[in-house]
Amino acid sequence: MSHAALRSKSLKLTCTKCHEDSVVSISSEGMHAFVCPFCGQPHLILVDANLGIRDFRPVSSLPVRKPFEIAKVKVKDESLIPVTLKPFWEMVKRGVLPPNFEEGFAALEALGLLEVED
Amino acid sequence: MPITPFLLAKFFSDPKEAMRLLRIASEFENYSVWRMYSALQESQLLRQLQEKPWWEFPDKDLARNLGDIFVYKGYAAWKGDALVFKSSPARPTVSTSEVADLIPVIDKVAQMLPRALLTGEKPSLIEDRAYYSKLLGSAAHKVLTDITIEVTGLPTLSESAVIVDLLPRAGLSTLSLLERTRARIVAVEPLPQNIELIKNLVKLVGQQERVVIVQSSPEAMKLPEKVNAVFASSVMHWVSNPHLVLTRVRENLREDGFLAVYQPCYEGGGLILSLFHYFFGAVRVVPKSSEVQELIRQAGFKITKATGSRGFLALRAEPQ
Repeated sequence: MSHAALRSKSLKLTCTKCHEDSVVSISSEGMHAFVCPFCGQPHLILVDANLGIRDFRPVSSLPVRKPFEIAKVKVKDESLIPVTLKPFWEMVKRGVLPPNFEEGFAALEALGLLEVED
Repeated sequence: MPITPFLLAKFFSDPKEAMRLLRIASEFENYSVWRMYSALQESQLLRQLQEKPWWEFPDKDLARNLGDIFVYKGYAAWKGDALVFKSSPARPTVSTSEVADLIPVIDKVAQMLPRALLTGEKPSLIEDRAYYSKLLGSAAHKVLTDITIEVTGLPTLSESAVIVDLLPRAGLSTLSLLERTRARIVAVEPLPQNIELIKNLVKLVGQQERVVIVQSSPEAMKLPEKVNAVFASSVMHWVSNPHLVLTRVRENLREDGFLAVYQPCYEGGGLILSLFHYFFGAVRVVPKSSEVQELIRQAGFKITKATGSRGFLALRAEPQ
């Protein structure tokens, strides 16, 4: 196991809808899904290499199989991303959520490319 | 890839781009043929292709298309209706990003080819949606789509003009039209899952006010108002009745409107594209360039511009 995988950080997340606080543990950078355990509002979190929160936003839906937990969301096989979605995905990888980003994730999900890590 | 009038003209206007296009075509052909040959060799199907005529395979069109590819690349010759292999392709290098982008699709086709050849089974469009969208949304496909948009004059249409994007499937043509023209777009697409994808893509680029999506098969297209242009990107082999589709296009076009076509054809590198499209949902192998042009004339069009390279046709036609 790499040094990076052994790291983890506890973070306090405040739900954008009900404003309740939840403490979660994050151990890797990238995109994560979080569903508020109090009201069920899904959120998207972008985590940087230092395990800091780059972006935290409410979203209408997320491909999360494990509700009320934090789960890493990733693309199964980046080589299968069509050219129409590549600019969007490159932005997300750089830690930027473009306007209408939910449509980008919806498109990736519809193609069966988004997955949630156990 | 032979030098054709299209490439020759490109060499004079933009030699660097012409060289890039040549390299993309050459690398695409060489990598695809090497992968397919290797897959058939590993599954010991090369011998069957030499012993059995193409029409004895469960999917005759697939076997014939495959044989024609090896013959075109000089690795085999037809002896009657069976193949005689003369040499084997060497592992090629891939240096262009467009071909590197297509490698997952090429590898997938090569992996599934032996089974498809033996059983006639092709991948399901739903199960292999990612590959389907990748094939129809590849960087190489975008290059050819963009070239066609330019050479057929679609960017000259005004902001008030309407272009029908016929059968956009994975939405690449819709995004190319949004990027390269100023007109409003009417996307005519029958499959609900494709419509959802296109809606998402259009919203992602923030251009939803320019696009209307009509759920209809191209054969049944009936628009409330006649349009300035119809863009048919790689459509003729994806529809069950191309003549009826072209008739509908003619009915929905204004008298001063035009049809812009990008079509892979059954020759040169188009033979390989044909096999890939056929694998991922096209109803038949691609037509020959002459067949496409004849179909368009029969539907009441006059072809005013036809260019392309071997296996790729970009065409503009006007109602007459």
